[in-house]
This record gives sequence, C-alpha cells and structure tokens, in this order.
Amino acid sequence: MTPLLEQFMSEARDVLQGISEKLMQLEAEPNSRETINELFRLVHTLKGNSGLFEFPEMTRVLHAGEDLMDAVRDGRVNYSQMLADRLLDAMDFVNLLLDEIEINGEIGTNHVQHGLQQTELLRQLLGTATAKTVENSGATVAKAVKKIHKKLPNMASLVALPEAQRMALYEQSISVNTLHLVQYVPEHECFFKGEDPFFQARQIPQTIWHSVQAVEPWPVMAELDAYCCNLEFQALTATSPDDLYELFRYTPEQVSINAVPAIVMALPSGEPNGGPVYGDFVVDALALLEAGDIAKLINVSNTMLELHSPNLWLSSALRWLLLVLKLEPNNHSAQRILIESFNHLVAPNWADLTPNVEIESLEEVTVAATLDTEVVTNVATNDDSFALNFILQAQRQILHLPDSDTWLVGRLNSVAATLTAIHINAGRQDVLPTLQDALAEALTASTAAPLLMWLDDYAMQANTPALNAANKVEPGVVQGKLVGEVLEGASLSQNVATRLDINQNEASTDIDADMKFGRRSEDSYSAPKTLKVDQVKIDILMNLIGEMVVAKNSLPYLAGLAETQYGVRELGREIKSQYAVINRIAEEMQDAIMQVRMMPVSFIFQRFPRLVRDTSRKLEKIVNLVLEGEETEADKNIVEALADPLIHIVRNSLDHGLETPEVRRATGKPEAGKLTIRASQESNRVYIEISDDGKGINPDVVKRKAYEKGIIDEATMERMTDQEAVNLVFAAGFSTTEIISDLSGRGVGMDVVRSAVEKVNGTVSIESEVGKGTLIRLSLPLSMAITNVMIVESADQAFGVPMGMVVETVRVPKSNIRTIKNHKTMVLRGRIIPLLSLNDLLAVDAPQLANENEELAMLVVQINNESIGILVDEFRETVDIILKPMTGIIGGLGGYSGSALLGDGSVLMVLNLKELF
Amino acid sequence: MKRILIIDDAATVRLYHRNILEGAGYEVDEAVNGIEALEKALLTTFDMYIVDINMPKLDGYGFLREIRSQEIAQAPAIMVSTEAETGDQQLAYGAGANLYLVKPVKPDGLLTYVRLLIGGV
Repeated sequence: MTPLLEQFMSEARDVLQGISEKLMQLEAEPNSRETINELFRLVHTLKGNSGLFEFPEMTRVLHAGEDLMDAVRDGRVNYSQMLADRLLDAMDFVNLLLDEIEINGEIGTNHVQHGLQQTELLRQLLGTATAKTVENSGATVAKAVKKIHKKLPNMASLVALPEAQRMALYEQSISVNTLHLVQYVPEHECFFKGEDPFFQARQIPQTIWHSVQAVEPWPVMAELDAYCCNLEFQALTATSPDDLYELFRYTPEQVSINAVPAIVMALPSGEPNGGPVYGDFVVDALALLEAGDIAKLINVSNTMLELHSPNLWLSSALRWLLLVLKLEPNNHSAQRILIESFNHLVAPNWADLTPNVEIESLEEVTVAATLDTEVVTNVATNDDSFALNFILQAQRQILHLPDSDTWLVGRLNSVAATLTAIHINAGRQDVLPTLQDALAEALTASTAAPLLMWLDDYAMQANTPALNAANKVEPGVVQGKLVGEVLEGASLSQNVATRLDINQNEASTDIDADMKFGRRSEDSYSAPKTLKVDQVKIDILMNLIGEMVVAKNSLPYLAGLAETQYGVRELGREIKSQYAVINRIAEEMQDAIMQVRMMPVSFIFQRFPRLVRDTSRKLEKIVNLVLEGEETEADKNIVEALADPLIHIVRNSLDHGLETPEVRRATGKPEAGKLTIRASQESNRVYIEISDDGKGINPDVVKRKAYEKGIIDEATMERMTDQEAVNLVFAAGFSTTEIISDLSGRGVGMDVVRSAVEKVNGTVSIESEVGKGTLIRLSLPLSMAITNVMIVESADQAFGVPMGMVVETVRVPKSNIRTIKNHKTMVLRGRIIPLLSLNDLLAVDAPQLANENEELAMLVVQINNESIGILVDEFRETVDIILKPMTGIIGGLGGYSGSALLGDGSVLMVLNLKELF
Repeated sequence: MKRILIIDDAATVRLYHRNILEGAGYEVDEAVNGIEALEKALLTTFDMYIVDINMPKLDGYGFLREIRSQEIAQAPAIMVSTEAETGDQQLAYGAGANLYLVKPVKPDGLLTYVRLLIGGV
C-alpha cells in the first residue's frame, strides 16, 4: 500500500466516523445549518479524496451522497429519517469497500451492482434531476473535459467505408453515443513484459477505423532497436468504454479512450465531376443557414440533389447535409462546414474543426463516458502550449471581471505577477517592460482595461512561433513528442530553459521586494505539528524501553554482588547511585513512550451513537445515550481490547436491560431509557461504567437458570447472596435470554466479556437492582506493556504476583489460623478471610514455612470482588517486568499468565491466581 | 528553492499534491484551512498557493480575497476544486485565483502549470 493510499484509508475512516456522528447530531436537531454544512463538507472531502484513486464504485456512491447533501444544504431536499438511513447505509457500503481495499489493495468487481443500488437510492431522494445524473456518475470528472481541447486524429480514411454504413453509424450515435476513439501507445519495453500490443489492438471489438503509426520517426537501420516498441495504435470503435477498459485493464495508463462526436462520419465521397462549380449554391445555402431558414435550405438542397447523379461527390455531400440538418438541427457549425466543402470538393477534416464543434460534442458525449475522461486530462495537459493558452485565457477572464471589487489592486497585481512569470518561462522577457507600463496604468486608473489591451497585443505576438507550432501539429502525434518539438521550435533547449530559470529567480525576487508584507521565506518555517507513525515503530520502541527497564534491574543486583561477594562497598554504593539516575531516566522514557501510545477512549465510544440508534430502532425501544469522559486516555492496546466487550455489554443492555416504551410507561418510568457510558481514570487504572435504567437483573431468575444449567448445585443456590447470584452472569455457559436474539444472544454471554477484559489484566464487576437498572464496571490498567509484580517465595521457588491484585501483605501468627469445614480461615480486622496455601495450589507437597516467630506470610489478594489470603513462604521486592506470554508447549499450561526475565538473568514465573482456584 | 503552500482540509489531497510537488523538487508547506493559510502567508512568502474551495473556518474564496485585498501576496494562486461548474470558476477568479483546475489534477498537468507559473525548482 502506498503512503498516499494509507493516508487516504485513515482519513476516509475518520471522515466516515465524522459523517455518522454528524448524522446523529442532525437527528437530535434536524435544522442545524452548521451540522448540515459540516456534513456536506465531509462527504465532499471524502468524494474528492476517492477521486484520486481508481475506485469508481466508491466515488459514484459518494458523489450521489454529495449531491444529496448539497440539495439538503440548499433546502431543495428536506432532511428526513429516511435520508439519514440511506446515507448511513451508503457510508456502510463505503466502509465495506475500504475494508476490501485494506485487505486486497483494490475493490473487487462484485460491488458494482450494490454500488449502483446505493447510488440509485440516494438519487431517488434527490427527486427530479435524477435521470440525467444517475447515468452520469463521473459527472465532475466528465465535466472537466470541456476545458480540454483534444485533437482528434485525421480520420479521412473513414471514407473507405460505404456511405450507407457511415450514415447508419452516424444516426445510431446521435441518439446513443457509441463512438469511441481508442489511442493506445504501448510502452517501449512492452515486449519484455509479455505484452503483445498488436494482438491487443486487434482485440478491440467493432472497429470502424484504425491506424498504426510510429510514435517517433524510425531511426536509421543501424540504430534500430527491434525490441523497442515504437507504435501507436488508433481505432474508432462502436463499443462501450466499459468493455474497452476491461480489455485494457492491465495497461490503462497507456490508453486513452475518448468519445467521438458522430459528425466524424460525415465524409462526402464520390465522383468530383470536373471540379467545384457550385459557387452560387454555397453562397445561397450559407445565407439561408445564417438566416435560420432551415426549411428553405432543405428544400433547395433536395432540389439540387434531384438534379444531379447520385454518384457525384456533390450528391453525397448533400445527402450528408440533409441528414445533419435533420438529426443535428442545432449544429450550425458542422452544417456550415459541410456547405463550405462544396467549394473545394474535399471532405471536411472534422479533427481540425473549430474548437466549438469539437468541444461541445465532446462534452455532450463524455457525460456518458463516466470515468474515461481521466486519461484524457492526462494526455491533454501534457501539452505546454495548451497549458500556456489555458493560463492566458484564465487571466483574460479574470481581467474581464467587474472592476468594482475592493481587492482590485491585489487582483491586478497577481494577474501581472502571473503574466510576468509565464512570459519569463516561455522565454518572452522582451514583452515585460510593456507589461509593467500596462500594470502601472491599470493601477492608476483602477481598471483592468490597460492590462486587457496589453493581453490582446501580447496574445497576437504569442501566437507566433511556439503556440502556433502546437496547433499545427499533425493529429495522432504523441503529445510528449509534441512538447519536445514545440520547445525546440521556440528554441527552448535545455540550456536556455536553465538560463530562464535563473532569470525567473531574479524576477521573483523583484516581486518579493515590491510586496508590502513581503517577508523572507526563511523567517519562519513551521512544519506540520502532528506526525503519523506506524504502530510497529512505536511497538519496537516500547519493547526496547521494556527491555531497558528490565536490564536496569540488574544494577541493584550487581551492587549487592559488589558488596557481598567482592567486598567493595564503595563500588556497590556508586552503582546504586548510578542506578537511581538510570532508573529515573528509564521511568521518564517509559512514561513518554506510553504517552505516545495513549489514545482517548472516544475512539471506541464514537461508534456507540450509531450502534445504539440502529439497535434500539430494531428493537423498537427509545434510548438516550449519554457518553461521558470520552477524553480519558489509555494505552492503544487496552482501548482496542475494550471495543468488543463494550459493544457486547451495550447490546446486552439494549436487548435485555432496557424495556420497550409500553413496559416503561406501565412501570412509571419515562418512555425513553437511559444508557450511560462513562470513562474515568484513577491513578493508573481506567474505569468504564455502563449503566442503564432498565429492568435490572433478577437474582432469582439467574439462580434458577444457573441451577438448570448445572452451573451451581442446589445447596449453593440456597445460600447464595443476591450479589453472588448476579455475578453468575459471568459464569461460562450462562446466558439469560430464553430466545437467542439477533443482537446480543449468539450463544455467548458475559463470560466472554470477562475473559476479554481479564486478558488485558482488567476486571469487570456488576451491580444490579431489579426494576432500577444495571451497572457494569470495567477496571483496566492504563498500560499493559510493563507489569509491576511482587515476588513471593514458596517451596524454594520465586513467583510473581501482579501488584494489581495484591491488597496487602500480612504476617499471620500460625495460632490465628482456624480450620472451618476443612477450610483454613482467619479473621483479619473483623472479616473472615479464606486462606489458601500456594504450595497446595501448585500441588507442591510441602507445608508453608513459617519464620522464627511462627508467623506465616500471607498475601491478601482481590479476586472476583472477594479477598482471599494466599499463604507463601516469604515476600520479596516488587519489580517492573515485561510479561511474555507463554508460548509453545507450555502455552497451554494453566495457572501462569507468563514469564519474565529478572535482572540477575533468572526467569520469573508470573502466577495467574484466578486460574489456580 | 521555490516554495508552495497547499491549502486543503483533506489530508489525502494535501499528501497527493505534496508528493507531486516535492517529487519535482519544490518545497511544500501545508495549511488545513483558510485561517491557518493566512497565518502562514503572513509569516512566509510563498511562490504559489494551491487552494481548495470547501474548507472549515475560512474557505478558499475567503482566503484568496483576504490575501488579495490586504495585499499579503500577489503570487499566483491555483484554485483546485472537484466541481467544474463555470459559476465556481467565476467565483474563484473573482476572489483572486489565477487559475482554476479540477480535481484530481494529474501530476503531469499540475507540474506543467506550476513550472509555467513559477518556473522550475
């Protein structure tokens, strides 16, 4: 994927998100001008972006969306629920296409139909103006063509086709334009790429006319490279551009496909009969045409036709004239040209027609040609003389604007600056002094007229050598070559061009000096303030700092070694003080890198408005969603890991928690349910609370259900507290709905949520009150890359316990431990705490060791909202580690969440206490 | 070195133009809306402005009117739009653009215009 495509993808996702957000807002306040404008701008931006790539399906849908929003903006179409729905659907479709691009790098052909449907649905809302625009999906692109003067090749040899056949084609393409000119210039090295241009060109279906010519003049035999393709193929065909693009889909950049006006078929042919003798007729006919008396013109022509043998050139021309008069009554220029051809008995070269005829027709037909036009733009703008003329034309247009604008001076100056620049670049510095005079005059008189006059004078001069050369170039010559010739003709060789650049530099410095606010460009340069960095790079940094944190842990160990083993206390102390410095830097560095990885939870929150809206509508419930604390930040991995559990919880609330409006009304609640998602941060944990004011969880129902499913036995059921019962929803295999609904059901329940949250060292708890609602609270670490663990010893081995679980460490006199029903317990500050021995949990056959005071070391941990005492042999220090999950054979080993490397090089196994019970 | 300011709210379009222009050796700066562009134009002299129409805060027309009426810059400005309607073109010229092109402007085409308007690198 190219960086540009990557940029497109990420911006497109953002924009799509923005679009659905704006639509949500619009739902709340349908008349907000600001939101509507913003929405239009977003769709517009996305469409513009997609136009940079070959994603016709996407552009088509977005274009329809843009038109629709434009209409809403102008008040031509009213915002409605249906409009929002369709627009959202269309954006989903675009999202789907984006997914596909992400995976395959392109959009498959199977979306065309779906895309057309979406487009049609959007267009329908636009009402009247549809029919034309539906067809014209690439309208903006197509419209661009009208500005481009594209020379047609001289197709005089078309005359070889029988006149009847050409007339049939003409008639056919007047109604439905089918004529297209394919210009195919294979790469020089195409033979080395396994292409067969000749075969390829012959594959063009329904060829009416074709030509093959050399792109560059053939070199002398001695220099000829037989392996270098030097051909250009041209073919006139009546096939649809879609088929042509299909044919050339592997080499689209080498082909241009242009719609051709039907008139090119109008080539009179036949016996010249000694030469032109119809002077009077031409004059009369032209006069009639001028006067608009078409009926008379037809009459006269018919008479003329009857008087002459049908084999004559004249008769053929008359037949064409009559046909054009009938089918293209408004194409006066074509009619005039046909009449004028009587004078010399030569078929008109339609390619050389005045731009008027050609451009009008081109515009008319390219509307149907959708995206073909891109190629046209490419070729046409290659031409310097075209560009020069285009720029000149633009300046003329600007100068023709009313002089009344307050910024006239600025405008005149900028036009003068532009004119100066292009003249320097075209090697026409000689005219600059007069331009200066004209500008001065214009500024004094506050009118554009002097500059316009100068432009008129200049334009005449400019038409000599360089620009005219371009206009006279034989049709069919490849443009790149053409530029070369033009430049040569204007003696703009490489050297001259370089010299001109120097001049240009001088000139622009002058301009700078004249400027009122002209500050040097070196004064300040501000680069973009945000960087987009590949996540992989950040991950590498994160891993490195993780290793660094661990590596620095070896320093205290080293200091201890220096003291005890080598007896150099001084060195030990110095190492320790150095360690303090490194430790500080490492911590700051770790913090800084973690900051980079932090992202706001709004990243996942932002999809909820849409989710809640769609889901609640499907369930026929009314739900107000409240989002709080969206700016709360957490590590990217954590935020991403949150997405699925959160969606699940929200769906659960919508599906099972919140009641239908009728039920709510009956129970005295407001019709609209309230769903709140709140994020907050406390020390190094992020809390997410999802609460609803729905019907709550009935502990009795849950208990009965759990019993039925065999999750608990009868005795347990009897003595269970309500809270314990509610917690049962997290038990594996538990699902409270009787019917597996389309939404939250799917056979998985809250146990999936729990395991997903626990995977990132988070916890989940639930509180519920029947009739009042449910609150689910997720607690997550800010970051998961570095874990703080306490090292404990048991049976001569060290184990790590995540500090997140450790509530306190206590020394317990052996005598305080009681045994109740075969379970060890003790009373800690008035609370009974169950005790478990780590050796027992790990199936080590050894008693826990007590210290000299007959006290056992007890680690109080919090598991599933319960405090449990774990007896170990000894506590040691806490360390920061990077937890490496266990892989391979030991990956399946329960009871451990992973291993970590310690400063002394030993491996620490980190316990997953939850799995041990 | 010739310096060009690209003003567009779409990051993709900015990158697209940046790639083309930097590839040809021009120096490029970016602004995401008319206001930011004005700030940059006040501080720095650019050889050319490539301006999008539809932007938040201050659109392309507004930006051009501002630099032309305050005489902040007279360097050529190319207005780039997705619409090819003559109305827009008139508006663009009226606001102070020197050229009106339609997106997507092909790399060769853009470079030709830029080279003609401000010369090579």
